Amino acid sequence: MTKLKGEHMSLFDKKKSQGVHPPGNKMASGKAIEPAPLPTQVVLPLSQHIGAPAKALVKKNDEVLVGQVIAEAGGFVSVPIHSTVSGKVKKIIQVISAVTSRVGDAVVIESDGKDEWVECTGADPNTLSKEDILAKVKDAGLVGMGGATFPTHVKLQPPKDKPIDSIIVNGCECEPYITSDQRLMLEHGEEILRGLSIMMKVIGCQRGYIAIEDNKPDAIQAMQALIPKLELPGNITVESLKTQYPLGAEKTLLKRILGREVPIGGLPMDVGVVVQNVSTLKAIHDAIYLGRPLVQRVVTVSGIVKEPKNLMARFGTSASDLIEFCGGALPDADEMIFGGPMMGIAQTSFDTPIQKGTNSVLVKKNTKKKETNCIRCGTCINACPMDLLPLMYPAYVKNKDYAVLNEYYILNCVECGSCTYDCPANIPLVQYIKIGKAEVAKLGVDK
Amino acid sequence: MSPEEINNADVADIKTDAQNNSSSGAINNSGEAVKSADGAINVPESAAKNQEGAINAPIEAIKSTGEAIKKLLKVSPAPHVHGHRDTNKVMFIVMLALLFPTAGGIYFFGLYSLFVVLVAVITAVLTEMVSKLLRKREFIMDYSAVITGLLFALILPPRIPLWAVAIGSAFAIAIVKEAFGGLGHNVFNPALAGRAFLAVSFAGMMTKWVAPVSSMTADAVSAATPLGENFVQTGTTQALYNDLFMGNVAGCIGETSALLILIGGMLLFIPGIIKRVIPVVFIGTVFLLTWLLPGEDPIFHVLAGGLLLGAFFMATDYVTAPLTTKGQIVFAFGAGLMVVLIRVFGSMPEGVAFSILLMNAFTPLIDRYTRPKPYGFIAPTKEEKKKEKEEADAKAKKEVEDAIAADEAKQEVA
Ligand code: SF4
Ligand code: SF4
Repeated sequence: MTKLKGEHMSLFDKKKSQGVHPPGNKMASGKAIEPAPLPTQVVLPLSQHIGAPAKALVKKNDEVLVGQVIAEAGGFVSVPIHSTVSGKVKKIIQVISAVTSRVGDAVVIESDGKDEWVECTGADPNTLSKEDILAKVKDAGLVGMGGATFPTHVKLQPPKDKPIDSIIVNGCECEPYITSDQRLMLEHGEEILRGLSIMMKVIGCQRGYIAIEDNKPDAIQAMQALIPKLELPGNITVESLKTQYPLGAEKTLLKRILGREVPIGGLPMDVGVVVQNVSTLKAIHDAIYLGRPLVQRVVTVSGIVKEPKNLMARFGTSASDLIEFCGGALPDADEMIFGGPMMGIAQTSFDTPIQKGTNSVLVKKNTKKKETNCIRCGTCINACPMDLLPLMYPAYVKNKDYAVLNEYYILNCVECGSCTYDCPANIPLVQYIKIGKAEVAKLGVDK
Repeated sequence: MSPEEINNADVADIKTDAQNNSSSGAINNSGEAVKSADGAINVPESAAKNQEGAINAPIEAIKSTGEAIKKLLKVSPAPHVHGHRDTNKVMFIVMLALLFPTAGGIYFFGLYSLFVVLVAVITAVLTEMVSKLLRKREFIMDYSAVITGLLFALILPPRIPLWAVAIGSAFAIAIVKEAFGGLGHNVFNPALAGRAFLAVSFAGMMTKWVAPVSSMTADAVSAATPLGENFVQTGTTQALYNDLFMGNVAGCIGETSALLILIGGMLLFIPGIIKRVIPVVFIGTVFLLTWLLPGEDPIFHVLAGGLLLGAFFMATDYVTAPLTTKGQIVFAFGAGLMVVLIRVFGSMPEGVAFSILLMNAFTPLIDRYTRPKPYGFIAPTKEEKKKEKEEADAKAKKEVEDAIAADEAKQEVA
């Protein structure tokens, strides 16, 4: 049932497809998920999500259990943080968030090695009301685990005037190296589907698409085989999509599957769609059926490490511990990225803790090349999935001509990095765009 | 400094520094990157002055198990991988492709052509070096000057004096390219503009044509180009086509052999290094129009003169052609139309160079009107447009009225 929707083919250099084709390098795709060793100490930043940081509830020397709330949600668009080990709070320190690059508090907990959990009581979602489910999802601290880390309970409550007719499960994993979602689909397909079913119930829609790129035939097969077995309500299908970066970006994904375009400045829900990552669905399942808060996730450790692996790691574990568990990094490693190589964020230290949005720890050697003049080759235009003219931005940003940026729809950019990946002049277009966007946003405030 | 010390002493400072630094999250690590030329911020080096190094301290300090910081990492903006595309590689391939017509020129017009090519290329590279020095920019050996020099030589008459070659080549680089800001900023194709400069300044020597010579040293016999008024067709049409195809006719150094140009052109066309739509539409337009015009031979028009060289190597110049496919179609059609107009109705025998230069001038305009519609773009409806216009009009009217009122008020006071 391979379907290719929204594919344009035409004679000349017109966009056959928008995006780029970085080599997959899915080195860990054959490795089953392994539990990472329990950390001796965890560092839990209170801002691991988009929105208000959580507020700490613990102080130095408090005893905590696994799954105990150590910080409560700081607002509606915020989630609580749970301890991921049992032990004693050692101190509260300041760290710079790996997600938002902002400075915030982090709780340091020393493990007692016993791994004692708080009591978790699961429930059958059919016996729960919509409100109960939403409350449980929020209390479990769920955020979008594909990297965006947007609080899940907010996404599950679209405004009344925006009816949702479809949910797209994002199992594309279009970033190179990362295999955490693929492994999850292979090993925990049932939980993902049950999570989807809960979500469809809460949102009240009947149509679910599971989008998987065709470079993961095993995952496609596994999911397809599972659907009839589970006899879930509603209409759920698996969509096999031609591999291409950035297919996993919400907006490109829903265009490919449903042929709809999200209006400029809009969200998928404006066209009746919610996109959710597979890891998040598994977490929803765990939160409801098992009553378990979010304390761990699958992290792909890959790149130039001895043995790339998919690890089930507690949040707050230092990345260096995981790298160590994978046999260590090769000597010429001088860069570590949380997330994929296209959109991930380079970290300043191997010791940065794993967080809710960390789907991958990529160890690599920095290969940045020198920026040269734009030769107007138009490659970036062909690569851009949002049909922008990326080459226009650097000059206006350099000249601080921010007002013009809007004329070129800079806010429509999804920062996928395709343009930069393909630019023969090595111009860091996305960087200019990020600066430009921030400045344009400021202009908007001034008005 | 022990980890504990970092924690206790510096956290406050670090916090304020960092906050100043990260007033808007996204720019935080980016501002740096844009400034630093190589894109990679080297943390260890900049740690002293750069807050980023400092912010990083607490995280490292947490490992108070006594373990030292294992390694300082490079922090650079995403994406962290890059495709195989590279300006230098592209230019190198273009240069290789150009060697085919160059070799043809040397074969057909003798060793002197080789000197023309060498002088053009060397002058171009030297001029670029000097210009960069004067503009205090770093000189990067990126083949672009070589290509300009080569192209320039290829569109010169075979017996042009070498000093003129040097002047033209220097003009192309210094005035047409560098004065506009260097690679990527020039409006006109430098080689074509250099040729146009010579044509205007030294008209006589730019119209001296010689018949092809097969031996390297033979004396040149003057001859007319196939497009010229004095050209006399001696053999059959088929023989003429053959000569045009192989390059056995009078003309500029690199433009006579359709075969060699096509070989070089295909080197760029097939992998899509040049924008394919331009040569197709350009040549297609010339073919169609001359086919429609009575008394013109479309095949002759395609093969003769500089059309093929211009269509494959000059109209496709990234820098001076429009960005989008739509724009490129307009551009190539315009150039084709101009070529036919000049050749058939104009006073000059050949017009490829001027047609392309003219369209170069239109490129910014074409780009402006062929901007792609972005994803999710919803065109404003007629009503919305009307409303917008009305609002703008009302605002302007009000401003005028206010000004008049203020003026009157002033007069009253007076
Ligand atoms: S401009 Fe933005 S959306 Fe377009 S390719 Fe570049 S990063 Fe992606
Ligand atoms: S890909 Fe790079 S060099 Fe080419 S037009 Fe875009 S910004 Fe310029």
